[in-house]
Amino acid sequence: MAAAARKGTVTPLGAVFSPEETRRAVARVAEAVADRRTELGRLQGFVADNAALVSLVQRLPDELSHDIMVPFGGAAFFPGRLIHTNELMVLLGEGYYVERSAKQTTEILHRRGMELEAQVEAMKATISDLEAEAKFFESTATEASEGLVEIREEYDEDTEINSSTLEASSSASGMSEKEREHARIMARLDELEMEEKDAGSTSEEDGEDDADDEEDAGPSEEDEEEGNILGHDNDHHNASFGASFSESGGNDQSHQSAQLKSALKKPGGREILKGGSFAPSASTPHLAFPGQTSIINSGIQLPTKNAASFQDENRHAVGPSKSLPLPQGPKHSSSILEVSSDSTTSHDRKIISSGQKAFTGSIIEHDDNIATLQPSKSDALQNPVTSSSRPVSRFKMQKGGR
Amino acid sequence: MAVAEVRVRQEKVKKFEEFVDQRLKLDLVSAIAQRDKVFQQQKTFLDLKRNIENLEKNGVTSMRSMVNLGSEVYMQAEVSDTRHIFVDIGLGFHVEFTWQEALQFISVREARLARQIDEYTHLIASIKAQIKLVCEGIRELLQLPAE
Repeated sequence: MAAAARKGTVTPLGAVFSPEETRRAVARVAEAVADRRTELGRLQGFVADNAALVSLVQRLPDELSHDIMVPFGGAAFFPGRLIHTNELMVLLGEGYYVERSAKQTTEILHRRGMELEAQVEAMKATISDLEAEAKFFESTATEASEGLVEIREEYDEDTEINSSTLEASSSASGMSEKEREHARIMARLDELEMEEKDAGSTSEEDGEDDADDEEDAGPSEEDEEEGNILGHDNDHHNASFGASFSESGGNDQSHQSAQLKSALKKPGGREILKGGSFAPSASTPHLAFPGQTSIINSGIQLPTKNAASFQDENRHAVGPSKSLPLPQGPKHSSSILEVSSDSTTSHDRKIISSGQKAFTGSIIEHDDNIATLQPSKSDALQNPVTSSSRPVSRFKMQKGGR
Repeated sequence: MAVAEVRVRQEKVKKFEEFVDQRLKLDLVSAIAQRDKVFQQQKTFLDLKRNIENLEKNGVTSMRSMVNLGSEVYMQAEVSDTRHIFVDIGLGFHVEFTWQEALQFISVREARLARQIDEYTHLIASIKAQIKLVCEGIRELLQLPAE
């Protein structure tokens, strides 16, 4: 999008990590690895010595005495023999010796051996760490030499909010602005459609066809129930609510979710109004809007109407499709498919679908925005909410398409 | 002209310094290490001589000692006959001597070790002299005043 191009910076990786420096880093790490390896060899030598000594100490008491050459200084020997073969003096450190039997000595040596093994393991871990580091440096060096670039875009919450509110207020203020917006959305829709065509598999196209068919059916039913209730309400609300969401088409989802959270806190009475029957709707961001809650309240008193209230969300979602003729069809296909497929209706399914539509529903007047919202928003929502296979697959497809 | 001369001089200084650092100093270190090794040998033979003289003086015919099995673990050992001693004559050979023969051998060996030490000391001195000479040469090239 244009915003991304404006904010993003592109840095060739080669400029950040000069090939020479990375090579030097690789060399240094390799040197460290070599050092550690010699240290490891030394430790393993200790381990081997220890094991040999253990077996020697275990074997010596088998005989009463052993004929050996007794060292006499550094350069001479006397012929002699080992006596008292079950008495050993073991150095404990700091010049302290202790007299132990062969068995006790073996235990001491075993404990030393375990300590040495631990050290060897630690050294091996260090070496593998260093090797991973070296590999990373090497891959960085090759990437830099291949001319890889790093694309970075700063996210500044304040500026994002400012721009969004600006956009919102301006769109709410004038009709001309709205028309411009509409034109922009149409362009975006065309673009998306093209993308979808490019990426489209046959199955997706089938889905779209279905969606179009059912779209026609869906709204008419819902309209009968809901049209009058919401029809007029829409007009006042979009100015206020739509505004807050108008930026969603182009902006980060994180931002939106943040807004949602804050919005969720606002309506204190909301939950009470809706009651237990609405519990599933907790997942629908729709609730976030106090104004709309009140609408639902006034319009729908009966618990059975809850489904209807969800449907009205759907209707919102569908509604725009009237004004925006074709391109919108495919965008809605997933959710609408669901609704219409069981228009004989189980409530959960509708709730699910409404969950998907939650955002579109809340954007009442900004029919145009729905289109842009759809690909990004509904996808994100679909993921957690839906259990049915259809939307998920579509989600994947869209993801692949983009 | 002058610039070229300066550059040639700098090249020369650099070469001298490299010679000192990478050749002479390494030679010096290895020579000192070798001399230390010889000192060690001299000390062991000196000790052996003193020990044999002690045995002779006290007329010891049998003795007990502690044998290092490795990792500072010791076991008692008994020598029943001390009149015959096996001495390391170099290259891993040991020869069975009586005390007198051992003392003779040790004196010969000590003389040889002393000569070796002298040689190494001379070598070290000459290497040091060379280093000094090259340093003087560098000083002259840089036209610094003598200390």
